[in-house]
Amino acid sequence: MALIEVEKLNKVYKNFKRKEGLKGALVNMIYREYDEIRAVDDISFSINSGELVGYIGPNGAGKSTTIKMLTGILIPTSGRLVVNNLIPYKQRYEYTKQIGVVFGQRTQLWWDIPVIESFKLLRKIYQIPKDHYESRLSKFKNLLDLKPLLNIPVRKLSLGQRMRCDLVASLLHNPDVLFLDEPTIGLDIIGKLSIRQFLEKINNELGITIILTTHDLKEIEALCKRLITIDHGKILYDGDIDGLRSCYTLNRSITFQLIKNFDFDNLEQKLKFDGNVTLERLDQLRLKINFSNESLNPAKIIENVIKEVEVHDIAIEEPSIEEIVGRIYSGKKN
Amino acid sequence: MSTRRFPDSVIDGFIKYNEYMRISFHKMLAYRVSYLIGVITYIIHVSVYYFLYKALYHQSHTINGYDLQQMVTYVAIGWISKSFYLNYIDRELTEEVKSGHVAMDLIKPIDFQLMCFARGLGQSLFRIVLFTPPIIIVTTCMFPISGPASPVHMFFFILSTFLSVLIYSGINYTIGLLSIFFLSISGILYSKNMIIELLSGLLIPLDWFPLWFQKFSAFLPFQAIAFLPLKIYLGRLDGSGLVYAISLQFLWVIITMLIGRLVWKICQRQILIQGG
Ligand SMILES: Nc1ncnc2c1ncn2[C@@H]1O[C@H](COP(=O)(O)OP(=O)(O)OP(=O)(O)O)[C@@H](O)[C@H]1O
Ligand SMILES: [Mg+2]
Repeated sequence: MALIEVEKLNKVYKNFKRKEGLKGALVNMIYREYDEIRAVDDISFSINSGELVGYIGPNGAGKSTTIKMLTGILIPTSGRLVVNNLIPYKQRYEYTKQIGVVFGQRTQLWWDIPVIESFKLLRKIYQIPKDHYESRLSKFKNLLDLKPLLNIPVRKLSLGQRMRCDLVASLLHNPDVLFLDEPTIGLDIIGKLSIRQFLEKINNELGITIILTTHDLKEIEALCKRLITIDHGKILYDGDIDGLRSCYTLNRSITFQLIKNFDFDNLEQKLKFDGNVTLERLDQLRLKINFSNESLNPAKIIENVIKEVEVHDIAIEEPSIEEIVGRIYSGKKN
Repeated sequence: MSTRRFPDSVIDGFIKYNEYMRISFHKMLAYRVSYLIGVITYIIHVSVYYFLYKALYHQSHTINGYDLQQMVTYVAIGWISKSFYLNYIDRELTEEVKSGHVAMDLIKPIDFQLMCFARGLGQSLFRIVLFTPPIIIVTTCMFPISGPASPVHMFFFILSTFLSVLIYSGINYTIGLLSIFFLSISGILYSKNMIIELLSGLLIPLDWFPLWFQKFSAFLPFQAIAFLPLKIYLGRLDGSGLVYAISLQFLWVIITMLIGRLVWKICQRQILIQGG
């Protein structure tokens, strides 16, 4: 059985419609109208132990809502949700011992006390035996370079420093699953990289299952084998990243740097490809060929070009993951 | 699963909430200015009532069975014990719900109600150590206040005041939970404070009120917060009356806690974690 099973999960928020003005306020006292927002709309997926899954989508897609339900702090409107044989919101007390949670926007540490004190408190709250606690802490401390931060109150930490501390806080009790809602929001490149490497390590070495939301697609590409894309509460794509590439018709291009000035019209005449291919002259020595991944493979094109002209250098441009995901978000298949 | 779980034990459970108490204590230490203002406010309150009652007692020696000295003692001890049982768990809860920070409590293996109680107790502990003593010293120097009726009464007064803390916390917690239904409940909190001041007998002893009102308030938990402990202090309850008062308080501790748990059950369904 999968570690996390989600079946036809729904969350509907009811937003109270406020009428304007004094008259509206009076009407509101007696009669209330609601707007319904279906933040999560009938989604299903399952995640196995040890997976590292990226959960992405544009603003307001329903990512945080899903994470809140998965962590047991928000009750679904309908649907089935089982993690590690527990129903998160029903067996919250038991469940919280098995999961770690980081919400990038907030901290679970105590604002006014030094980080190490917060950790000690968590040790008592989760009832972690001292030797376990110490060995885990010293390991994470080294991995994330926490030593200089431990005696500083949380309110005095920078965002990136705080995030590293929060990450360690979520792992002290040795959870099976780690939920991360935008853990790298607002971090610089180095900060992001150190968290990325850390997550990779704990996923590989400790076998912790990780579900992560982010707007940084580079991160997803580097970290996650599997990607779930959601918008308007519905899952648009669930699978691996390479699969995502082949799933869409994408424009690729090859740029040839030639040795000699070339006759563009002549070359265009000679190079005849099937499918949707266009040639473009960038300057005296550079030729660009645009094609779509459905019709041709690059090798074929290169082979043909080399036959006609002398080539100095070749650059193949892949569509970026941003481009693909942007396409998914905007709902265009082609 | 490869991971090992650690079973809960009662002692560890206690330690867990003890920690929340400690944190609250430390938090209070951080607000030194509001601490000073608090001490002064309490003393002003007692002074105002002192002069009010002094004027009132100008014509008669006793009113409704209290002489001036007893009345002054009633007011002063009332405020001194209030300085102990008061807590702000309702306000804290409201803020946590509003900001969505309540999520950070819900992802931890803790009982939400016990955690809030522990916070309240931490605040009370802070007060008994640092806040209540200066108030005791100043008020006893300024006004003619009698000691407790007897050592036995003193003992039961302390026990009774401790139960007040629990009842007050129980009410505060339940009212605070309402913020889950209504995002802004400052109005409710304000009226709650007024109602508790009046119906607990802090402002005026409840036996000064008409009979129907006394009967009415006897059915409510509020009188168990101030009126009952103060009657014990003044020696107005003895023997079976004393036992009855303490048992009634115990009963209210249990009832308010159970109501709190019930309301939480209902709220959980409603709770929307804001933000993200
Ligand atoms: N407490 C709430 N009450 C009412 N509607 C809400 C609430 N929280 C979220 N929503 C709505 O639900 C939808 C999904 O919100 P959610 O926070 O899950 O998005 P998200 O994918 O996390 O977006 P972002 O990337 O901006 O964080 C949005 O339309 C939002 O307006
Ligand atoms: Mg979000």
